[in-house]
Amino acid sequence: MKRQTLNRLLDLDRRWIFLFVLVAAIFARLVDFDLPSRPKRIVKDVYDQIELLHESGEVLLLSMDYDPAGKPELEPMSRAVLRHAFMRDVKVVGMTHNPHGQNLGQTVLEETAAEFGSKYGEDYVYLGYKAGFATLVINMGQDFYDAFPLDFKGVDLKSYPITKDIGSLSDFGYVFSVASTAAWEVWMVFGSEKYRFKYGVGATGVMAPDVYPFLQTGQIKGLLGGLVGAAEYETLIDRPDRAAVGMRPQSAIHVLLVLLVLFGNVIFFLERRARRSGRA
Amino acid sequence: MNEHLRDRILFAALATLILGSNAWLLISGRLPADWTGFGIMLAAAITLSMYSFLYKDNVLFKLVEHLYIGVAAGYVTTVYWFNIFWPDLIKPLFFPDPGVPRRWLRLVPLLMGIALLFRVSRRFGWMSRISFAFIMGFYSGIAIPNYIETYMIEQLHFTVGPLFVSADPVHLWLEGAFLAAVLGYMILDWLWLSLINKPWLNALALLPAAVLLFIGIFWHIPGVSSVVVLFGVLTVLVYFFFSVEQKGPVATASKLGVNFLMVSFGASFGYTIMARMSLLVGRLEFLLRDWLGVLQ
Repeated sequence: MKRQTLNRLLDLDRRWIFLFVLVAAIFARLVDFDLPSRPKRIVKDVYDQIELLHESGEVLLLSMDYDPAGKPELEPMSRAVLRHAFMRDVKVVGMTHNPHGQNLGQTVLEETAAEFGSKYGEDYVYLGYKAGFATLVINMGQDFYDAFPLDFKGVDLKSYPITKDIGSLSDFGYVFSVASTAAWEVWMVFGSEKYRFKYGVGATGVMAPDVYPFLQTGQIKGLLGGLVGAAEYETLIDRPDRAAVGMRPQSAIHVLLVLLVLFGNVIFFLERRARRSGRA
Repeated sequence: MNEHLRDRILFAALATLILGSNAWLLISGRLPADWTGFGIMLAAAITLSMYSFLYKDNVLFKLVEHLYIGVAAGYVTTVYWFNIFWPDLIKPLFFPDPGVPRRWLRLVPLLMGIALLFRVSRRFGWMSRISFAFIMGFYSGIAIPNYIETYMIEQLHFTVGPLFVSADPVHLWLEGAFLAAVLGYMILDWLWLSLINKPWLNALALLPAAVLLFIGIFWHIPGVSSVVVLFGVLTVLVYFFFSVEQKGPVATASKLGVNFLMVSFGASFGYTIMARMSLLVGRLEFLLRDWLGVLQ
């Protein structure tokens, strides 16, 4: 290949790459094909914790700490975990640390509950958003009712059968934070380490590597990392949905990017060789 | 064609495409002529306008960027009012329920919050320092012990965790032999790397150790992860230890530490790409399913 052509390829306008990615994603989404999904051990850990709640009858606290920017990755996680919980008759208390996420959490909770005929107050309760972050978690650990005397509708939490006996975070069987912010860390540092409850995380792909060190130490029990984590959970509960379907374009884009990296490296070395032989 | 004119034509075409598609979807009945339909059309237009930035910065992108900031600020203000200011501050202080005493103590956070706003004033800016001092003192007090416990003590506990957990003596011997092989090879490698300074030979010498470790981790052989974690922590700490000249065995350990860091950066970068692409997939799903109705 001529050096001029190689140089032109090395200086390829990045907009062509955006276009290739778009075409690959649309093509892979429109064409119907199956990809195998093997749930990882860390995903299975979350599943097992929900199963344990079914056996013990304890309540799940699901904190949906994400905003619209994190919705494509994190809402499928919330939905999958909620479906599993409602499927197994596990009682759920929902909340959020993110003011932008109040309605997102409410919507996903109500939609999933409607699928299984679960009733508000009996099967689930939504607390909504409250400011405080670390101080809120500490307050919930010390006195849950003091932190949240009312749900998001303004009704006394003591009037619901799910929440009337909850005095502290330690009374929850499992706390699961689906987070696009540092909320997952706050739950761990000021919550699970202090009040010793079982705690799992659903994180965006960007944040997932930060969570890994705490899985090995057992400080976090179970992780759903990015859309792939949600897809694996959907496979586990045998209800493939948007995350499982989204794996097709996701995988196509990954293959394309790997090819582009290889292509870029090959062109780089060819150009360097051409340059050296030109000098000689 | 000059570039300026070409860009104008392209963006006019994009605007026409958005408006034309929405009009067609509405007329053909694919989208309902109500607030839901209007919301979907608006969301689609905003999504396409945001993605137009990938071509070039433009007026459509600027418009929706400002719109987003305004909407987000308005939404958060509403949430704060209904979730915090009214139920936790204004109501208990000024409009308590009949029979419930006024919570006068809540005047303290109210006044401290107002003091924070004086940050913008040159004359009264000092008042905000009282609130800031309280916030910093309080947060340091609760954060430092908890962070030390979570990030140091618990993590350190695992870093020097047990190498053998099996109760079966046969398993114990097998695991011991495997670990001894891995460790022996790593020590030999270390010596080799300290003596020979040819990068390709170094890489070749490390390969069997990497394969052994991979086998150990893949088959969940207890102790292997502990060894990798311990080795990684120590070599990375050596890399960041600048009080000793980086030569000989120290330089080798430091280089290995860099490799551990590179693996960590690679994993983070891979996950980041996955996350960004997931967002694209999410928006495509919305455009193809909810807006255009191509997918069912």
